[in-house]
Formats: sequence, C-alpha cells, structure tokens
Amino acid sequence: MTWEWICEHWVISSAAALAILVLAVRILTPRRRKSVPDDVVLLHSFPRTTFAPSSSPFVLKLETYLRMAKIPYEVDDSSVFGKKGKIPWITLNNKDVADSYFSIEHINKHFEVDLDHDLTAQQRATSRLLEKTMEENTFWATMVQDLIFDHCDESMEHQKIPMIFRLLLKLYFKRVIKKYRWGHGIGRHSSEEIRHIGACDLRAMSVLLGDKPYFMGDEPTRVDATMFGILGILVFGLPAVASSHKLLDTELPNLVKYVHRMKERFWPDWNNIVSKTDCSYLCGSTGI
Amino acid sequence: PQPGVVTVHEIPRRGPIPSFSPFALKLETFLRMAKIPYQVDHSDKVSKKGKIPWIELDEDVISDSTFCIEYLIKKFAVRLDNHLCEEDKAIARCMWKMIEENTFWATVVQDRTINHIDEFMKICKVPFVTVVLIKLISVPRLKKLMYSHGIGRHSQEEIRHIGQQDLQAISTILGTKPFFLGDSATTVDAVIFGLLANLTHCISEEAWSYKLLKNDLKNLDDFVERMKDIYWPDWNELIEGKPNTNIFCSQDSIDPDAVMDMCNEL
Repeated sequence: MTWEWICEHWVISSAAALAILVLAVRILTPRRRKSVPDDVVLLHSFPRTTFAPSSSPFVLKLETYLRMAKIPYEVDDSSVFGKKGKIPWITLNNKDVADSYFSIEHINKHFEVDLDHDLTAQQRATSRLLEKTMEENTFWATMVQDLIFDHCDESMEHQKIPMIFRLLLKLYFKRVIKKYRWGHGIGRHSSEEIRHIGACDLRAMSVLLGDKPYFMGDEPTRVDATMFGILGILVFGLPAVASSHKLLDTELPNLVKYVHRMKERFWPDWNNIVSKTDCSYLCGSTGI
Repeated sequence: PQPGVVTVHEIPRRGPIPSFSPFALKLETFLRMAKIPYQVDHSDKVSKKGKIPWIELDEDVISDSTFCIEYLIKKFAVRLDNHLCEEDKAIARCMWKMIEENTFWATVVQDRTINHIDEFMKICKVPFVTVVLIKLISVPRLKKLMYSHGIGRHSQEEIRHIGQQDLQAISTILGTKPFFLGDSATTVDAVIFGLLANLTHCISEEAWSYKLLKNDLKNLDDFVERMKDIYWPDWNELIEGKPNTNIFCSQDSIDPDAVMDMCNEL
C-alpha cells in the first residue's frame, strides 16, 4: 500500500526522497568544524527551535548542565551526528566525546566540577535512580510515545516542523524508532500500557520532588539537568492534548513549576533564542 | 492449568538457579512472597508480545512480568507494599525501572551473556550444538537489541562503568537494612533479587559484575542469600532437577523475628 501511495503522490515522494538525499549528504560529508578556543566546549546539536532551545531532551540536558556548571561553550547546530550515531556530542580541546552522560563525566573531570559535592551518599544514589529511570524508561513512555506515535500530527504542528520533515518523520523515522522501541522492550506493549508506564514514572518523580525547589534540595544538582531536559520538552514541546503534557498540567503541578523554575534560572535568554533573535551562544561570559 | 491457580509460563529450569531469567525469578519470588499458589509450565511458549515469562489465571492471560505483578497485586489484594510511605514507593519505582531498563543490559546481557558466554553456557550445561546456535543467532540478535536500546553504542568499559554505578547506587540504598525498604520484604526486593541472584549464582566468576558483588558490594550479596534462604527453601531441590509441576503451597507465615535473627547472623 505504501508503494502505491508513493506512485500516486510522486511529487511529494520525490521531494521527500530529495530531502533524504540532502540530509544524507550533510551527515556523511565531512564539514569544516567550527573552531573554538581551548577550554571552551563545542556542543554539537540540532538547530534551535521555536518552542525550546532544542527539540532534543538530551541536548537541552547537556546545555543546561553547561550553564549550571558555568562552563564556557559554543553551539554547532549543523546536526552532524557523533561517533555513536547520536546527538549531542562535544568537542573539548580537540577531543570528541559522544553521548550526554559521558560528555558530562568528561566535563566534570576536565574542569574539576562536581555539582553533587554537597550531597550525601544516599542522595547521590537517589539521583542515579532518578536519572536512569527518566532516560531509560520515562523518556520512551512519555516523549517518544506522545510525539512520534499517539499525537504525531498535533506535535509536529505544535513544534512548527516544516512539511518536508513531517513527511520524513512519518515515512522513515517513525519506522526506525519503532524498531528501536521493540529492541528496548517497551515497544511490545500497547499504547495504553506504555502511557500507564509513563504516568507511573511521572507520579513517582512528582513525589520525590515534593515541595522542594530542586530534586535534591534547595540548590540544583546534576540530576536537575536530566530532569529538566525531558520534562522541559514535555511541557513546552508537546501539544495540550498529549497525555503526558495533560498529566503534568492536571495532576503534577509541582513538576510544571519546577520546569519553569529551571528555565528562569538557567535560560534567561530562552525567549530570545526561540524567537531566533539571539545568535550568540558563548555562555561563559554571561555570568549566569 | 488448574482453575483458580496461577500458571507461570517460563523457560525450563537449567543451571545452578531456579531460573536464569531475572524476570521469571522475580515473578516466582513475588508469588512466594505474596503467598499466591502457583504452578509452573516449562514448555517455553512465548506470549503474544514475544516475551516470557507470562501468566494465566482462569480466563486471564497477562504478558510481561511487571504487568503480571500489577495484575496479581490487584487480583489477590496483596499488601506487601501497603505500609510504605509515598516516598518509599517512589524510590521503589525508580529502583525497579533502573534495574530492569538499564542495569539488566549492562550486567546480565553484556557481561554474562555476551562477554562470558562460554562459561555461562557451561554453567547451564547447554549442549554443544545449542551453544553454537546461540553464538551464531542469539548473541548477534542481543547485540542488535542493545544497539536499539542505546546502551550497545558504548564501549565495553563504558558499559561496565554504567552497570557499576547502578549497582553502587542500590548498594547505598540498601545500606545495612535487611531489605531495600526496611525490615520487611516488599515487591521491589523480588525485582532486585531476580537480577542479583543471576549475577552471583549463574555467571562466570571472571565477570566484573560477579566480582563487584562478591568483593565490593557485599551487602548486595548478603541480600541475595537472605532472600534465597527465606523464599527459596527448595532451591537445591529445584536445581537438582526435581519436578515442580505441583501447586506451590506457601509455607507457614514468616516470623519477622526469625528474619531479624537471620539478618543479624548474616
């Protein structure tokens, strides 16, 4: 049926095929990398969006972390994927590090930073549980489920994704992500079951935040970067009709307030960025 | 299947452990903790989701060990977790998810089944031809699943670091308590036991996860032995191959003082 559809709609299909070709050339062609001074992190990510500094929760997490730790950085938004086939990745003093988690570990080591230095061993352990639950489970059950499967059209409309990429997403990326989900395990459940999994996770996180300003207490720590990365996309990047967005709005107001709190503290330039009026991302001198 | 009795469909018993599937071991341990009579079917049939274990109870068929437990808690009004405060329940949720969606891949899949496949097959007395098939078909498939999951894109050293950090975190949460959330066992203990028992009883002794549990995170090793002694008094009989097709009738209710005595001895 897909082949017949493609033949009947050859104009759109040709445009989609051309877009895939252009994307492939961009990804595979070695580009002249942006150069930054020593001890300045070059963060490789996607272009800015109109609803958040990044459509990727992992980019948002990593960039927020850089701001929290006051690490000078610049952004390369050319969408070049790193060695592990992932975005974000970083370059620091000519060394590439893929994956947001290992990027943070590398940054901590290089700059001798430890945002968790005041935490007890118990709190560090709880941080770990929260981080891994959010990234390895909640992310799939909320963001991926809502954005790609349950409310794809509404989400793309909300995020103002160009028509050509909407087609790419539906014709190609959706299938790839479906395969990844199956491999992960969560893709074997029904949509209702996946939503249930996500809801249970978010409710647990709401309990663990409680009425504290940040997850581990009065000051933000490493885990807040992760939590904000994903919760931020659920709040700003999903339409009102999306299940996880609705759940946050109706039942878990402390998580929504938390997102706004993190945004105000670490992204005072959020509105400038999403309205594309601010093109300078050199953060180190902004004294955040 | 007998009416009114839970039938657990799981892989056959093999090796020095009642199940080398952490999910089947978790599910059976939970049934025993909750004192729910059950019988086991080892015919290897997978569920509609392509997963095993799964359960049947009269007309109800439930796939996925976590959904099975949620179903059983409702159906049998299981009160194991009722005394927990909301915060403890939330911690339990996060431990559960981290163990099954992250630690499992770094330890059981990468360390045991991929890195030390030969010893694992030997421990489970798997015939030579099956070992060859597993190496040719199952191991590449597992690597693909790990890539899809995301964790498979990291180096060996990075995967080990991930698993180590996870195990360190739960060791810290457990501390000197007999069970993860206090003096009495709750559902999350069955979940963690299912995984950890496989890392201490059914794995090469050269595996980093085995060494970590035996040498550094001793409280986790002790926890495994504690759970094994309380909930699997028939462990040795089962691994010797004695059949287990009869309804498991729960033993006399567990005396909490006896548990504390045992913990103090350990």
